[in-house]
Amino acid sequence: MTLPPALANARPAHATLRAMGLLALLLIVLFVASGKVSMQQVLDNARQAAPLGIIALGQALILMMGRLDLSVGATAGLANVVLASAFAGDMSNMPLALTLTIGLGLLVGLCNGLLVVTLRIPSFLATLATSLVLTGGLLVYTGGSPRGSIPAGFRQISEGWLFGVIPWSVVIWAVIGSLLMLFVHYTLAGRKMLFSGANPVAARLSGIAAGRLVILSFIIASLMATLGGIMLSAITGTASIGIANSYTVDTIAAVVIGGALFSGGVFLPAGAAAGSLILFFLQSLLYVLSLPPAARFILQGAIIIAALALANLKKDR
Amino acid sequence: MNAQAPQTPLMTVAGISKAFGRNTVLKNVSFSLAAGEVLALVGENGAGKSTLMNILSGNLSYDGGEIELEAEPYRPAGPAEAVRRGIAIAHQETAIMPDLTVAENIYFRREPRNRFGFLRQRRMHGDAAALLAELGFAIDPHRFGRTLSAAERQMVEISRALVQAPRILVLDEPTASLSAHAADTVLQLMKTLKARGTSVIFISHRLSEVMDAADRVVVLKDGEMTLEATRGTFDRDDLIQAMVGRKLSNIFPTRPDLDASDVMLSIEKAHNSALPPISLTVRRGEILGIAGLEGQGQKPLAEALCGARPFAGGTVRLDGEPVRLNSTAAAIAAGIASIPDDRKHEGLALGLSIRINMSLFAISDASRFGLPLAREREFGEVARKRFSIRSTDLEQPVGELSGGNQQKVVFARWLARRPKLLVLHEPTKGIDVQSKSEIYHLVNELTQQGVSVILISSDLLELIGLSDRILTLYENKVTGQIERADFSEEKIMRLSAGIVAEQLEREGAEHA
Repeated sequence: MTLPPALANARPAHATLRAMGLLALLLIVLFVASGKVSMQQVLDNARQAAPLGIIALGQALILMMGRLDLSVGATAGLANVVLASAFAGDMSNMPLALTLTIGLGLLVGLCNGLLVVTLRIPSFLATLATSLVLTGGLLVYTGGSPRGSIPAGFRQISEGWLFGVIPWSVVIWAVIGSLLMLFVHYTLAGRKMLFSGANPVAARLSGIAAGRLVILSFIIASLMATLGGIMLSAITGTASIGIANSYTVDTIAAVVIGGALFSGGVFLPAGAAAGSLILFFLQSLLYVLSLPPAARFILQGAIIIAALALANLKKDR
Repeated sequence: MNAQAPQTPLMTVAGISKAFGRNTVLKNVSFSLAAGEVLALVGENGAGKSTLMNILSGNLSYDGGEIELEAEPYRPAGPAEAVRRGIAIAHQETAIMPDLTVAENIYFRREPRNRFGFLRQRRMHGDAAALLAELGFAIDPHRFGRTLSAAERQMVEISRALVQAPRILVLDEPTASLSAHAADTVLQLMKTLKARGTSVIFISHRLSEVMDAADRVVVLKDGEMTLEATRGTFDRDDLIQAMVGRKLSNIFPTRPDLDASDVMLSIEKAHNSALPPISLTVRRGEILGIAGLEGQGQKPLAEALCGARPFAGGTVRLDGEPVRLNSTAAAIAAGIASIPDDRKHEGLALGLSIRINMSLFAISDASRFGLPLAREREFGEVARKRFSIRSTDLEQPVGELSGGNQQKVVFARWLARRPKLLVLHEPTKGIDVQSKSEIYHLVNELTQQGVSVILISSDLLELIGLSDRILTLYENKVTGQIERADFSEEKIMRLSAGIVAEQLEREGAEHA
C-alpha cells in the first residue's frame, strides 16, 4: 500500500524508532526499579528535559549540515544571564528582556555562521572559540555574580501545566520540534538544506547557495539554544554562570542517540527528542537506584555506544 | 599453437572466480603466460581487470579455480608473498609518497642500510639514478614525490616494481596519463623486459598499444573472459566486439546530419586562472567531443561551463544571447546542465533517496516555498520509467544503486530543467554496457530536440561513436579539430599528445 506523498514524507526513520524503543526500554526499567512511576512523573521529567530537548533540535539541524556547534551551552548560558538581568524580576520588562535575549542569540548564530562559511574555519573550532568568548565575556560583564531574576509570571512557561494535564514547556518543545520538522521536510529551503548537508559539493554544483544555508542553520541553532536558555531560566528563576555548560555535550549525545550522523544529511527531530528524554530518565533511574551522580556519565557513554552499535548492526545486514 | 613461446607456461590461470558478497566479479577466467611473454588485459571499466590484477599481486584472494606459477600452486597470502614468488605490480593510481625523494620512493621498504640500520642515502640515490637511466626515464632521483607530474609518478611506480626483480611485472594502465612520447618509452621498456625473459601483464584502454605490444590478449567483459588470443589471430574489431559484447553499431545511435543548424554555444577567448583563452562553438543539436590525456584542461573547462570556477574574461554566447556564467546558479539559469565526472562526490547525496536526489530541479521550478510532494512523486515515477532506473522504489537510497542507475538519476535531475546545453564529463565512467547504451541513445534523442552537447571523455570509442566533431586538448589548449568523416583513434591520440593539427597535415602532405 502506498501512503499519500505528504504522509510518506513524514514516515519515521528506523533510527527514530530505535531511539524510541530505547526510551521505552528505559521507562520499563525505571518502572521495575522503582515500582511506581506515574504518568505525572514521566511528564514532569519531560518538563525538565524541555530546555535540553529544544537546544538538541538546533544541534540536530547543525549535524544535518555535517557540522557541529560547540557553543550551544554557552549561548544558552548567555540567554539565562541576559534574560534575568533585563527582567530584573519585573514582568513589565518582558518585551525588552525577550527582544534583547533573542537578538543576542541570533547575533551569536550569525557570527558562528560567518566564521564557518566566510572564514572557512572548521565548525567545531569556530564554535569552540565563540563559546570561549561568550563564557569569558559573561564573567567580565557580571563580575562573576550575575544579578536579576525571572518574575513568577514568566516562570509559568515551565512551571505551568496546560489544563493541568501537560506542562507548557512540553507543549512549546513539541511545537518548536514540529515547526522545524515542517521546515526541513516540507519546504523548498529545508529540502535544499538537507541536500547540501548530505553533499555540499553536489549541492553547490546544482546551484544551491549552500553557504547561505549553513549560516542559516547556525542562526537557527543559536536561536534554539537561546530559547532553551530561556526555558531553563524559567525553571531556575535566577541567573547563574555556566548553568548550561553541560548542554553542549548532552545535545550531541542526544541527537546521536536519536539517529543523527556526523556525515550529515539526516534530520530526525523525533529521534533527537527521544534522545533528550533518554538522558533525563537516565538521571531519574540513577536516583531511583541511588547510584552516584558520576555513574550518569558512564551510563550515558554506554547508551551512545549501544545506540550506534545497533545502527551499525542493522546496516550490515 | 603459440610459435613464440614453445616452452611450458610460466603461469597458468585455470578457471578462477571471485565474488564480493553476492556480486560475482570474475567467472571462470583461464589463460596462460609464458616466460618473456607480454599479455594485454583488455576490458571496459568494471569488467574485472583490476580484480584479476589484485588477485595476481596478492591483494585479493580468489574463490574458485587454480593458479599455478612455475608448476606450483599460487595462492599468495598478501603482496609480500606475491613479490617473493616473483610477481610485482605497478599501480595506476600511484602511491607515491610526497615527502620522500624519487629514490626513497623507488627503494621504499628495501632501502640499502649500513650495519647500524641507518639508510645509505648516497648509495640509494646513485642506484636509483642508474636504474632510471637504464629504463630510459629522465627523472632526477633527488626530486621529491610531490613535485612529480602524473607521467613521472607512473614512471617511478614502474621503477619501484622493477626493483623487486619480478619474473612477472603487472602494469595497471601504465600509459593512461602519459603523452605519446612517454607512452612509447613504456612500450619500449616492455620490449626490453621481454627480451630479458621477464613476462609483462598490462592493462590498457588503447587498442593500438595492445595491437602493437601484446603477444597474447585476454578480454574480460562483466567478469567473464570473452576472448583469449595470441598475436596475429585477432584484430581490433575482435577486441571491441569481445569488450562490449556486441557490435558497436548496436551501442551507439546513428547520428543525423546537422549541416543547416545554427550556433547554440560560442565561446570566444574565454579564460580563467586554470585555463588559457579558449574558443569553440557548438551548433544546435550537435555533440562536440572533447578528447585529451588525463588532466589536460578537461576539468577546468567543465568547471568553467557549469559556473563552479567561472571564466574571468572573454565572451560566452548561448542561443544568441551573451551569458555570464559567474556561479553555478547563473549557469543553470542560462540553460546549462552539467553532469560531473565524479558522480559520487559531485553529483549525488548517496545517503538520500532516489526521489530527493532526482527531484531537486523539478520541485524548485514548481514551487517557491512549500514542497509540491504529490508532483514530486509523480515526477519521480515518470522519470524512473523514462530512464529505466532499476530500484526497489523511489525511497531507496541512491548509494545502493549500480553505477549506471546512479548516473541515470543524475541525468533525470538535470533534464527536468530542459537545458539548452548539456555538458557531460565522463558520463559513462564505470557503468555497464547496457546503461551506457541507454545513456547514448538518450543523449542522441535530446540533440534531436535541439539540445547541444559537450562530451568530455577519455573513452575513445565513446567519443568516436557519439560525437559529431572532436576537439583535442593538450596542456589546457585546443590542439586540433576532427570532423566525423576523419575520426580515428590514431588521429585523436596524436593530436592529444600535443602534436598540433598543422604539423599532422604537413606530415600527411609529405606522405602523399
